[in-house]
Amino acid sequence: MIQPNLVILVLILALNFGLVALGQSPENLLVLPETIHVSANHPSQLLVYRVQADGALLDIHAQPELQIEVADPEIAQVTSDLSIEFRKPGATTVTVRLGGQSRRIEVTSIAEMPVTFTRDVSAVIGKSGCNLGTCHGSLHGKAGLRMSLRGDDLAFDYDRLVHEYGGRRIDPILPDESLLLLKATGAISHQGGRRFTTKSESYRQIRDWIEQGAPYTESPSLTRLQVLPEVARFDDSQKTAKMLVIAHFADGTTRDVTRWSRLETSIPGGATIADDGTIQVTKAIDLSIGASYLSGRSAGRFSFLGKSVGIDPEVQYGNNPIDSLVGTRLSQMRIPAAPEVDDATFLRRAYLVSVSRLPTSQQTKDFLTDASVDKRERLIDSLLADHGFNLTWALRWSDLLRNEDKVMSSKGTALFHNWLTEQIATDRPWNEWNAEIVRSVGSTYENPPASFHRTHRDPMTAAESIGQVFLGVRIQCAKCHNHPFDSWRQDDYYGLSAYFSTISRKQIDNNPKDKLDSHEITGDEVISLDDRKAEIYHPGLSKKVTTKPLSKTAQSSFAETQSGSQQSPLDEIATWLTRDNDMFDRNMANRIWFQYFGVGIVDPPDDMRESNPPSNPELLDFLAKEFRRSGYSLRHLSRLILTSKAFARQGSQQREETLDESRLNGTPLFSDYRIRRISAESLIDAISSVTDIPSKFPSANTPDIIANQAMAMPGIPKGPGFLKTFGKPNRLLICECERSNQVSLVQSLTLANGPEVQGKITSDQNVIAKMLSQNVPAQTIIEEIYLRALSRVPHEHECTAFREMIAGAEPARQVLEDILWAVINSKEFVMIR
Amino acid sequence: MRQGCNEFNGSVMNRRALLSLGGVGLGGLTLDRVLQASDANASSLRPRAKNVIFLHQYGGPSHIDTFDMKPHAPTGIRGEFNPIDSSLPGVPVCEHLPRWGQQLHKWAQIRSVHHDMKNHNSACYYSLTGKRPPTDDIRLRDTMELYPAYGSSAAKFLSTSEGVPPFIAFPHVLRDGAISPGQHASFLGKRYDPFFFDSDPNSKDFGLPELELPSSISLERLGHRRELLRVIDDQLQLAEKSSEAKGLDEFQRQSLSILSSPNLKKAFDLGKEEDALRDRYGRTTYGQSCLLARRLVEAGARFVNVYFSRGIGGKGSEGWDTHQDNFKDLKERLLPMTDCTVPTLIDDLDARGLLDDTLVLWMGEFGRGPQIGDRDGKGRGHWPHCYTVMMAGGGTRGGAIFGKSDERGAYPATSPVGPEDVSATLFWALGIEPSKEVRDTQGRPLPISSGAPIESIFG
Repeated sequence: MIQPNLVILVLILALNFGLVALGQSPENLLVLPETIHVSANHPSQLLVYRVQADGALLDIHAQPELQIEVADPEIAQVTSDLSIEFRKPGATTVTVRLGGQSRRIEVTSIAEMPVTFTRDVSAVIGKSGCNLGTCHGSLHGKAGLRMSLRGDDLAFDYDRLVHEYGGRRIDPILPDESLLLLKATGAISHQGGRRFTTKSESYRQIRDWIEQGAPYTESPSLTRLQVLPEVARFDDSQKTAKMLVIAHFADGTTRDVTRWSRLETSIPGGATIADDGTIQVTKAIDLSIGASYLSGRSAGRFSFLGKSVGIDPEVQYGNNPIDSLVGTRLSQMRIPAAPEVDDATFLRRAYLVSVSRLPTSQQTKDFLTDASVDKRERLIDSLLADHGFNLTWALRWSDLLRNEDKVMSSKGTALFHNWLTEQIATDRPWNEWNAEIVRSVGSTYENPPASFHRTHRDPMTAAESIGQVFLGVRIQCAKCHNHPFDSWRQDDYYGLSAYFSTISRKQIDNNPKDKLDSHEITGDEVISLDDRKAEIYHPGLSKKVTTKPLSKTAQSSFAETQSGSQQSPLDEIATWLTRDNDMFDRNMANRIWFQYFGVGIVDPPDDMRESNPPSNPELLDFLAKEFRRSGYSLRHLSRLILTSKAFARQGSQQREETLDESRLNGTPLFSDYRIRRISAESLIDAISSVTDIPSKFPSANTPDIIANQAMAMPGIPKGPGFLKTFGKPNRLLICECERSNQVSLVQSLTLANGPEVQGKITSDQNVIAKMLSQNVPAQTIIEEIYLRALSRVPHEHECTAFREMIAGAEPARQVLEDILWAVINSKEFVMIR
Repeated sequence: MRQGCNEFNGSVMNRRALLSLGGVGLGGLTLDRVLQASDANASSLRPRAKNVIFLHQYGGPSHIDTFDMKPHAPTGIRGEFNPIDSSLPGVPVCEHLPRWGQQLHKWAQIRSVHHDMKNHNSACYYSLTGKRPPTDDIRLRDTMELYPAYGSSAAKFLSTSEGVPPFIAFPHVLRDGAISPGQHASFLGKRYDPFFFDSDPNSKDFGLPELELPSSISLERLGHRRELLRVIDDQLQLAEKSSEAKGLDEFQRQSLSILSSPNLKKAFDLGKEEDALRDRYGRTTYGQSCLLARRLVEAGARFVNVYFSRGIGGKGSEGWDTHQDNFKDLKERLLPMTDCTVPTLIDDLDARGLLDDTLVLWMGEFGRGPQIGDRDGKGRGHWPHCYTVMMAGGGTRGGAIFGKSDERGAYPATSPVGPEDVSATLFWALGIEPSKEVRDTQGRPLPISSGAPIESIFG
């Protein structure tokens, strides 16, 4: 149960969030940055805001009442647009006053440092885009010049620019004639066009460096890149705002490197960003702006709010801690939450997301007529105890772990599926059975969790899956180069791969159709670990490396030797993954949320990175902690989510005047419930249950026995058909995106006129035939169809329309078939809403 | 904020740039290619194709035994066939393609296409998408990370017609062991998947059950059902609330309009064609498929893929993989069928005024090795290092010949181009900027083609 004091704590934290995140006292004048270093060629911008009552910022740098004073004008000066400029070396302060408030900023003026290759020249190259993957940073370079991707390897770049082809790219005698400058300025033809002009600061810096003889000079290394403000919400009166990028160096100095950074918005087309960090938007939008400078990456989160709106606290908040967090975030973003749905919609939604089937007509009637106040909670409890819940999650994990018949064999698919079902059914701590999947070896028939190493057949594939499935991070990019949008380095990729380098596989009774195809295994496979050092070749270092878990800091190193303990490399990585691992907790909490909302707090759910931040960070943190606190109980977290107001809100709605979350950033704040198509398996099962004509699928227990439920099918269908058409994944990917809930023309044709659906509608064994044979009146049959399919009775308007048709001369059976057809083809039926 | 290299696209190279480029030895871009390319830039060429019929010959048709013959090469290379005069003065063609030879002046040839994928599945993927596969392995798996089929990109970027799917592919799923990648929309999303069917247009009862309403459902009854559906859909107006419901609404409208409109169904009714014309196309799966392709383009499809065979075949079976008895197989089976069907398609399109709007491609995934002697001593092996791609209509210049192979037909002698450039040419012809970006499953921005259009064959 949730502790009441926990609720209050969360609420207090959340209400203060806007200010806490800015690291400022809750008074309303905000000046950034708090300390400044300037030098002759590197002034630093000041940002001045008023913090409004709801935490939104108002840029007031141009306000005439603003007073700015430098204590020692000999040391530094302030320009009219609030740039602090160098006068002579020394320390002073700048005081910003407005009304009765003031803020003091420490300023250090430092002597200009010489232009160096590692800092200044490399920054110009990075800023100009020369080393991007589409240009010289590509694996083969462009037009004969190859550089490391986004300046990953400065020594390599230096060698290419200065030494390659007999040093033809630079000319220290006539610096202006250097090929490097002639190309970059477009003086001679350059595929990449003109990157800067001869009058620019970029030009001056490169030219100065070449004139010095183009030495390999180094500056203190970059220790941290910071975006200011890091998180900010701007008042609706503001359609432009400024951001700064501050570089922190190893010698303790900082520099405003905004104009030397590459700035990229998470929503292309949603905003423009000028070189000086000015963001311009045309309407309310929530975006993240990534900054990269040298090897540093950082991101800021900027929300340009809509108008303040009236918010009904009764609707906005709730007693469930989830609702406090969702409501607070919505209020911060000035978005009113949608009201709750009616019982019928709630019932249908809850069934579809948790047990993947529709309620029967009787269950629907019982629920709708139940007058008790806690009936929704009791419904959720009964659904969590339903076998459909186990099947729902076994299917999700069979998808994620690539449980498909070709590599697993039909028997293996069924055994693994059953094992997964069992873990869910017993609500075994999620991290425990996850660890078992990573750690297990042996016969995949006798020990099904070992199947992970049957479906992931080489160390690198295993490492990529571990990253994406268990941590929600995509490390694939780091196979060939350090990840351009995230902190993963090649060391992380190969260090993680090394854990899986001692795995051996032996097939028993293998008889594949294609003898050459190592991905077709018809019998058992026995996974074992060789008794040798876990290591793998790292192409970046050109040597073998040992194991190393993923680490956000570049300092971590590869294991010296195998640890002396009895732990296998698989034990080590399984433990690291699932014990006290915040990345694991957050990823799993997000995936559980995703199941019930069709969209993650981080979305896509398996793409967690700084430049793809959670739409509600406090909510994700809370869920992750709650998941851990509950002993990783799926049922506990599911109950919490399914009994929240957030889950019970009305379906997507279009609103004017507020931040349009659904269209603009795709990571909704859960002010309403996302309408989406029912998954392939649930849809065919639903059509079967409405018509009373089941489809046949291989079952989990023995592949030869046919079951009636697509949800219970352990593997994937062999040929094309209904399930494939509606996006059942082939389980060749570990990506949530492989399951498609998109809609297509072939799907519409399949529902409208496909043989499988037609067969169910016209069968003489179906619901219509049965009820007609019992002389049930047409009106009641229609009601039954509605209850089964839509979890409601027909509205008056529908009844009138149908009555007119039934009264016609057509045979009743035909009209009823037409109504059944229309119900199955209706959007109301095929959508979770 | 965008600072890629795309602004280069409009720029024209000068001599100095050429010289400096020449020094660094860049793959693919040779002097005359650059000159031709800049010549083309200088003109005011406009893309004018509206549709594409993409004829794909799986297995790899021999270029040396068809359009790029080497009569002066040694016996072990030139092969058994003799060249004959074609309608293009000085450009001979294989004696077993006499009809095609008589309309060679309507075709543009690219004789210097090359790549390095020696396996069918990987080369096939390359030829269907213009994207180099990550591995040259027979087991290259079809995943959502691989590139979409050309027609899927076209469906995404072109305007489409009512009641007819924009991208239609038939009558086989290409596979060599596993399903060959490149036949669907992949990461573009299911809505751009081809409308695919595998029933045989040459069979007597050819038709599509999904398109064919059951006899119990008259058009009137379908209309009646549509009314009922509207009654239910009106209750919630979900389409106004959710973009997905809106998409569903759109597809539902399309599928009902397909079911109730005669257009697509009529296109499928090959019986409406005169027997004589059907005979001229050839009473084969391939012949009738090509006829159907024309009918579908007429009905409003934008991109039609016709696959010659389901597999690579060879040796008297389905496809063009002539490892054994190359000459017998070509002479008795593949070339006669081709010479019957393809020229008929071009003449038919031309006669109906469709050729100028419709780009027809004829190609395989690679060519065949110059040295005879594979397997039984009479075959030719896989040869991606140089082969010919044929294009007609859609604004191409009839008689244009781009690139040249060496004296053995082994490697490009001039103007080497890759499948990337073929893809760029095809998109360019349709008026789609080849550098247009799409996002893959990892969210990475990727251009639909990384090649350069061969504009000099147009005009």
